[in-house]
Amino acid sequence: MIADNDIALWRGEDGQIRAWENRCPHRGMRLSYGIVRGNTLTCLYHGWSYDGAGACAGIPAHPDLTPPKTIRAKAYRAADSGGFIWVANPGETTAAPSIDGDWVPNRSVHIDQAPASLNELADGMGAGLMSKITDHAAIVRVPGVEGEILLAFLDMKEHGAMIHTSVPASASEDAAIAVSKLSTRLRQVFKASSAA
Amino acid sequence: MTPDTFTRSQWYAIGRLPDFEGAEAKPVRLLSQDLTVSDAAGVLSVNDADGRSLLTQIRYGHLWTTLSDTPRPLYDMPEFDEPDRRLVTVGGVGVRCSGLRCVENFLDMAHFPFVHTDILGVEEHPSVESYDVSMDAEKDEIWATKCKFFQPMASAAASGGQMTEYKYRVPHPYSTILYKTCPIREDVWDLVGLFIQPVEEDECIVHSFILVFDEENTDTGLLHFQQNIFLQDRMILENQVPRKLPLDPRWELPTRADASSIAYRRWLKANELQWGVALFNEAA
Amino acid sequence: MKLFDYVLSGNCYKIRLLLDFLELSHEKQAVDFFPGREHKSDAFLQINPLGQIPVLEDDGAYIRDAQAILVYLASRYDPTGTWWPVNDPSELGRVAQWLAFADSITSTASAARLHDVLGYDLDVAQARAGAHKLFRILDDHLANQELQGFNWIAGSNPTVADVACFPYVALAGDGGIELFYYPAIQRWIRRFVNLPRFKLMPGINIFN
Ligand SMILES: N[C@@H](CCC(=O)N[C@@H](CS)C(=O)NCC(=O)O)C(=O)O
Ligand SMILES: [Fe+2]
Repeated sequence: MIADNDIALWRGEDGQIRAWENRCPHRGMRLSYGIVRGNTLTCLYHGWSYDGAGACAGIPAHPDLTPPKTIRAKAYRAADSGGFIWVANPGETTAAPSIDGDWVPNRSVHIDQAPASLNELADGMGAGLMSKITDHAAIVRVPGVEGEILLAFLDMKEHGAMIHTSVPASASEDAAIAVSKLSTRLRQVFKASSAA
Repeated sequence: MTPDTFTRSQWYAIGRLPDFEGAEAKPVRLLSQDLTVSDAAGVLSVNDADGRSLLTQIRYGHLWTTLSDTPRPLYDMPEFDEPDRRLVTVGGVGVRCSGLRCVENFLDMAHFPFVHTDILGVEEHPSVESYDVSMDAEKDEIWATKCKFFQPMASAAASGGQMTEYKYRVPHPYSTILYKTCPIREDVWDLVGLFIQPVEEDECIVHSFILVFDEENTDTGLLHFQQNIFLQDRMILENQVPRKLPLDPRWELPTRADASSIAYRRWLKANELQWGVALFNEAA
Repeated sequence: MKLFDYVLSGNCYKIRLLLDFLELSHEKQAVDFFPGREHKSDAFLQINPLGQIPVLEDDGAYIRDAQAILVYLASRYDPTGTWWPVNDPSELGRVAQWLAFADSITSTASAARLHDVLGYDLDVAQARAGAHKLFRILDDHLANQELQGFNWIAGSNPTVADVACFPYVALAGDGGIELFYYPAIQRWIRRFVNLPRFKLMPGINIFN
């Protein structure tokens, strides 16, 4: 779910990440319930399959039919970097950030209330900004935690936000657990701001 | 939106008879309205929020009501009077989508191998042969006939895979009945049907029934079989976007296997049904 | 051995899963839980005065409560001793702790599902909020387990704790509870459905 867009993410055998509108063009079924086979995504409802480019590759109810070219899943832009998956609108021209170093994903944590800014998020984590990557992602350091942390958030408006962290591939298990606990603690910091 | 005339003029099942035993103003919701059902010494009555008493009838194991004073007559199912048939009323299941989507899903054989895998279909036999779709102009209802599909376990009484023959009937925007090959008798059809209670435009309660010849299974066995199948459908129905039914042909792309769905959507449009329908500009 | 079973019950599903995992032959007696409320009938109250399913009959005795049945089956019939790890007290303690947690999942996530699917009259907002609280705890736990190289709730093997927690977590979507927020839970579900002899129940997204 990105802004108000419902998105299906999938990765084929070729390792490439893809982000599509979460809706099969046939009968509107969410493609995120689908099944990945090789480099195709198969819709759960009627087994229609789509190739990596979003073109319909097969309609099981009509095995002899070559699917018309007009049947396509709408694709967003998607890329891997820093252990995160980055998604943008189809028309977006800026490239996904390229992040130096070898990172492994650490946590994705849901919080009730999105932080107003990256700075507010870093403050909430007790972290210092080392370098900003986008308005929603940065490399940070937390006193007492070895190594750097890649930190990002996805603002989902009334649905709160997701906080994502990655740590260097060389990070120890203790450091990884420490970062995970810091992410978890953000739930107490960014609580729903209801009057109650 | 207030319900269009076609929607408003129908009878709707709102529960099984035992559900209302001893009811005292039991709340029920229909077409975005709060109603109550009361049982006075075995006589059921339905009132709207203003206390107006609505028409009722008891048929096919269910209590039916209507918001209209001059409703279209409820369709006939003569099979309910045939001796030796067993009726199992399966109970109302809530689904977060337009009831129109539930009818369409019910008419659709192409999903059997994927949604009801190894029961109503197998992935090795996904093909849907052409079938006939016709309108009964006099009764204003849709029939899909000569439908055939390979099924590993067509019903609780089936003992192995078979080519199953189907007929589908849509006599009402929120009701549909299927007639399928009876696994134990040659000259008759087994019936399974849905009586849908539209709660909101994008929310409904599906009351289903089975009316079959079966000497082997208990009622509870038949009930479990049917509820299991319907819960498989429910996960699909709750994850179709949008939740209302799109009637604009630019929106969802059908194939030949969807001939009954195409006829159903056309029929709804011809009857100027609007309540529960997604508008094309909502798609963006 | 006989299971008093309802096809849509997640608590009965726990028992069906373990019976299959342990390859135990058994019969099932279908209970008309809905719409018939057979579990509240006089006859059934003789079997379980709490008026609940599942109940297992074995060797002429009735055992009630899904968690208790799981413990019974694993201790009696699991030759590997991994599903209920009696030989490792600290792991056993963790398993027992998560069995209790599973019962709280029943009273929240399962309640929301009973409301949405079968029309039970209860406070669904409260049930969903309670489930989200528990799912955060489970998601944090599973994520930290992964960071330490453990795939399952109590350690490196699946135990009855996983079996007890799985159904109503995996079926949460039926009750309008979005699992999108819990990526570690999603990965655990994907591992669980890949266990040998696993059988799917309607309403479960296998996240693959
Ligand atoms: N703690 C019990 C709870 C079982 C339970 O809640 N079962 C439900 C069906 S899934 C039931 O029978 N509910 C009826 C009731 O509690 O009155 C267990 O784990 O077995
Ligand atoms: Fe279906």
